[in-house]
Amino acid sequence: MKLTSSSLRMLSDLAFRNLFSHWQKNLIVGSIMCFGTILVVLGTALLDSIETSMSRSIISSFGGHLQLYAKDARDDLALFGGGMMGASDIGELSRFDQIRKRLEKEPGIKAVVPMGISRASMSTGNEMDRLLETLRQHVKENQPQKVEKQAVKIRAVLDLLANELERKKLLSAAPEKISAELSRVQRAQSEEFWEQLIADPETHITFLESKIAPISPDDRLIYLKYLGTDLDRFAKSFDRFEIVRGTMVPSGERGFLINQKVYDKWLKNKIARELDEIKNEMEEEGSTIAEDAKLTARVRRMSRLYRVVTYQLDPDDSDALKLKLQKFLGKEQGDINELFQSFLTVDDKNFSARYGFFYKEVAPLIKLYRVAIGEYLNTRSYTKSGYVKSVRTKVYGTFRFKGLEASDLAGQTSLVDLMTFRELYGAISDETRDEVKAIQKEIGIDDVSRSSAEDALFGESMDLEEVVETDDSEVDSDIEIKFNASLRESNESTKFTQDDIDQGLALNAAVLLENPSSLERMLKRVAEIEEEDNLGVQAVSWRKASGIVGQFIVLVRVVLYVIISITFLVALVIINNSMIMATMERVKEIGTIRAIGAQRKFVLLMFLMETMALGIVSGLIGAGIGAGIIKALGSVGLPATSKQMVFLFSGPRLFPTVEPHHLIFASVVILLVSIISTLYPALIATRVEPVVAMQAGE
Amino acid sequence: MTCVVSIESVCKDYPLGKLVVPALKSVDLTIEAGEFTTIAGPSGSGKTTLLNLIGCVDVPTSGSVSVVGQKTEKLNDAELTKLRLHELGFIFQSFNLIPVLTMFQNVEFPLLLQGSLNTKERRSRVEEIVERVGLTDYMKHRPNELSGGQRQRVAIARALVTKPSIVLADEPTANLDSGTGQQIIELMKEINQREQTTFIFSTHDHRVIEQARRRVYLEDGKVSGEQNNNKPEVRHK
Repeated sequence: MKLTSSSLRMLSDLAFRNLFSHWQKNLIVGSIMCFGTILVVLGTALLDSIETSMSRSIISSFGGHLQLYAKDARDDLALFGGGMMGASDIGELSRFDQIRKRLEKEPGIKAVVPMGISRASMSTGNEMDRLLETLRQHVKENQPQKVEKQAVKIRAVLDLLANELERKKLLSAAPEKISAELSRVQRAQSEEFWEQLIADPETHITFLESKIAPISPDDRLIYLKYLGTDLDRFAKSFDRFEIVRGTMVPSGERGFLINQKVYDKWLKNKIARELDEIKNEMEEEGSTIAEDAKLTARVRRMSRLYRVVTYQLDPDDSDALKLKLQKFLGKEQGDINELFQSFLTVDDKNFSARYGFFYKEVAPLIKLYRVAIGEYLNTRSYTKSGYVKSVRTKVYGTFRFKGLEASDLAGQTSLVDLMTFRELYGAISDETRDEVKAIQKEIGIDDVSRSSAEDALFGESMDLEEVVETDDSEVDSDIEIKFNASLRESNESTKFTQDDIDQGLALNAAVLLENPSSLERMLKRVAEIEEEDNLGVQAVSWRKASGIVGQFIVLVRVVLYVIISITFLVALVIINNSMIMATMERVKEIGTIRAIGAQRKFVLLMFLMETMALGIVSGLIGAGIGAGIIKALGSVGLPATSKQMVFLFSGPRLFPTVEPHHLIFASVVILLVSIISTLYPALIATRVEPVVAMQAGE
Repeated sequence: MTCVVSIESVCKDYPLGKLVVPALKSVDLTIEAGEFTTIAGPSGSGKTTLLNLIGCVDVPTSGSVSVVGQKTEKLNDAELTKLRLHELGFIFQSFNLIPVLTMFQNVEFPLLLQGSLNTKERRSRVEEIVERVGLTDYMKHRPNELSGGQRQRVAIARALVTKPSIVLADEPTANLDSGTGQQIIELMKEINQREQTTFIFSTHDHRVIEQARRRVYLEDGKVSGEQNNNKPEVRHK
């Protein structure tokens, strides 16, 4: 048999006519194939869109196209955190300047930005901190009268604190810990301490700040995830970065930029935050306080927190606010606490008025954020060798990544200059090392190697486990305090240069490319450069570097493919079965065709054509519907229903697009499925003997 | 006269469960070109089996069947199929038209399988043969839109369109009323006379048997007698 165009045409004619003559069966099979195609088009187009938007999120926030880290790293780099808790050990790039110089020579590389991600606990000034801050100010300005006055205030708070600790000791399950705290407070209460404070204010104020202030109530320890980087280069390289409040950290200065999300979520006054969140839920979700049980409970909880505001008020402000509240609430009497509590008992009707009143009248009287822009932040972190390191850094402002405001992933990391990062990380600069030596001399330890300098400094008899077990505020070493005190002075005064930034250590680095499509090529290129120059660096793509977040999309893809496979497996079985049935019904026809002179392969082709025709028709319809849905979604936008999705969608809405390759892929898949599902029935058909044509009966 | 079918001591057994049922027991038969032969006999006598062997849709258990000079037992499936396509035409008891194709397409079908004619040649060949069977007005009709007699005429047209050496018809009138059956037999006879096409058909209808010049009687898988209108009747012992 020759396959001429006319016989092919007849075959397809046969196929289509057979499709119509068994339309009920084919409608079902076709619908399944159609559904499968829609699923493939929707799934792949959506996933690719999400992947593109997610890559935008990662690349333009702080991932860059490639990430560099040490070749001998023990763990994989995970910018957004890996699967496991705890810090991963990604080694360090001690020769960052060489790496940068070498790579920035490479055509196609736009910038290499040094980085280091770590966490620090942040004590964010409670009442004691604020008092101490003022005290420090007065000492600095050399105003003994004011210092005296402030000292009285502080000692009054210390008395209260001592009383509270005595009470707490009786109730506590761990009285030893409280005893230790109490002894520290008692030390600070003594006349002797204050006499010494006048003589050596820095050391003693630092003692109060680091040892007493954390004991005071309402000092919530906040864990801050921060990215140390070359801030100028960072701002230039990541176009989504923008300052929200305050200013950029000036070049050559140390400073923190707090992520606006962290700032609002953790550092804002609790009442203000609750009000914000209630407002958000009412507006975004359309919930009402009356009907939404969660919101009702939230309002009740908030109203009990009135002290968070009233305790902060100056007596004069308190009286003024009392009058305003009386007028606002239409009440004749009541003290400020009662009034404010009833003010906070909001309902759906009065919420927006009270929200407005709070920000207009109350907010200016209180400290709305625990760290104001321009204030200093005490961060404490474990250095790489496990010792506690404390650094005080000015907060210059807050920032966000444009379009990713709502995302927790993009909103969890704050920024700090690389010098401060190194300090917290435990990298010791030459300058600091000199200082360490000086202190060593002073306390009689001599000749300590660089590697054990830290042990000598902070550790002595202490090792990592002890630090972990005990509260870090227990670390009560004069040396540490002394060192931190001296460091604070150097920190505040020392400016640094671009060379200082470049010539120190970084943990990883983001590489930004001129052309994102050259990613794979540049990955190879970096490996080649490493081969040639032995810089001790390895490069990974943003996807790999983003850790579990980058893997997420892979996971979703696997799930999608599993769903698609199951759908098509079902389709396969159904098509297979119905084709076998059809074969059985058509045995006589097949036999006749064979008897007349059709070869086996003609029968095979006839059956294949039939399902392929069905596959093509339902595939086209399915691809059309799928593309239509994506187009519709693309114009309306798919809303991100959770904060994680904002990151994946690279904004509050995803505008998916469908590309020809999605449709082609879907068509190929559906065609393959139709062919595979027909192979067995077609094989049965070819086994039909021509002799059956001779058998009598219709 | 050339011999188009030559059957020599052919046996054909069919397995039936554990039993072996002999359908043909040593049959010898030769048919010459241009003959109009009926194979007659009661049902179960082996008519269809004999026709299947001649039609190359089956091969003998033993013995030899030669069709147009080819020994069928030596051919494989593809070769047998090719032989059927080029040398044989089939007319079935229940017409066996392809239901989804029009009358024209049904007739054209074997030509497409042969693939040797172009569209125009095919068209004129089909039109010619359709005219011969008197169905020119029904070209676009589907089989289910035609009567039984019309369908069998389509089947005849399909069998003849390739100009085969032999046309085989298995009880061609069994599903038709006697009048229509008579017309079909007349048509076959007419073509046989005009084209000298060899016709071999099986039947157990006496009126049909009488129409045939040569009659081969089968009984219990054996040729029990033969009558040739031109020759005196021969009874096999």
